[in-house]
Amino acid sequence: MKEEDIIKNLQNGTNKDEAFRALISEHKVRLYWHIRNIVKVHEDADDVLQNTFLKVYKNIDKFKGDSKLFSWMYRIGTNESITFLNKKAKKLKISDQEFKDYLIDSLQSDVYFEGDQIQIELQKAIETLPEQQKKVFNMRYFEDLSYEDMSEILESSVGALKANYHHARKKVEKILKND
Amino acid sequence: MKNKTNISGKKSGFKTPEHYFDDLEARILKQTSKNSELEKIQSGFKVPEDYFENFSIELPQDSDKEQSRVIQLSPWLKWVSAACIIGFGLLGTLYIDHISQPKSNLEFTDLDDEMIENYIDFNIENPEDYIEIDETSNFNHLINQNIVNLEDQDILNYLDEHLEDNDFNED
Repeated sequence: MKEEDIIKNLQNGTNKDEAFRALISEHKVRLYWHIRNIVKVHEDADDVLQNTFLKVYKNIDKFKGDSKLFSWMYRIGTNESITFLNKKAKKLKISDQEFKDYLIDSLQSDVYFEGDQIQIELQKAIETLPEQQKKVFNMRYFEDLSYEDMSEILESSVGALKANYHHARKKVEKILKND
Repeated sequence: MKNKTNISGKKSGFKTPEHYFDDLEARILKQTSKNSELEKIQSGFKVPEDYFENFSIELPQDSDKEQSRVIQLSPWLKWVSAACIIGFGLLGTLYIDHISQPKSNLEFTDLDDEMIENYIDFNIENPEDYIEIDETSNFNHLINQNIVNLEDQDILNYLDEHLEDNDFNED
């Protein structure tokens, strides 16, 4: 099913379930990895992915086609992931730094993480980045998204995103060198 | 092709695998054409088997929708609410006025790196024009940096353990 048909069917309610299934099938893998890079742990990524698709389903009428559908979904996925992490931190009643350490510790005990020491160090370095640089680094380094796509998702200029990525990469490199 | 000894013809003891140079060019070309993705440090994340195949979502039924209730405000509550809103508005104005006062004696060195980065990233129209952007590095060189930091004694120990006497013999 073409993307225009998926959107049309979802918005006017004809074959809505079939259109939604097609939407999930088309975007689940990329969206999962985008979310996983933010929340780190598989079970959390699974919860957030479900919430993201549900939010897309409930709010599809608000999608006006000003951006690509996938950019809109990525934006929802990003916001859902950050909201999820904030809620989790609040629930654990720990400081921002303690929560970052907690995320890395969770990673080390996650059966769905098979990284070695350098990958742990890389994740630790990513966690030290400011929020925007962290998003940009993950999207560019792990997901290979173009700056134009990132610009639509993060609603920021291509130039600013290039600068964000540059600063993020320099910091990560410095941390890895010093470790 | 002669591949057993150094190009000068002097015996150094070093040797190469048989036919090493015969397919060297092809192997190098193959390496350079490899997808850069493979050369990156990977995230290390994996998913349960068949996770994506079995992924499904239970859609909410219309009957699940909760009816929202409208609560009527009593007249006195209206006045209290209005007073609160005006009070918060006044406090907000005073606070904004306070933080917008210029700080005296602020030097460039007082700014931390993050403030400068934020300024470059968000206040300059084409920030990429002002920084030298290099995206070729993938951090892999950092994995091997410990080789550079080896002490002489470590290298001697390695040679002791890994070289056999016959590596130094004449053919």
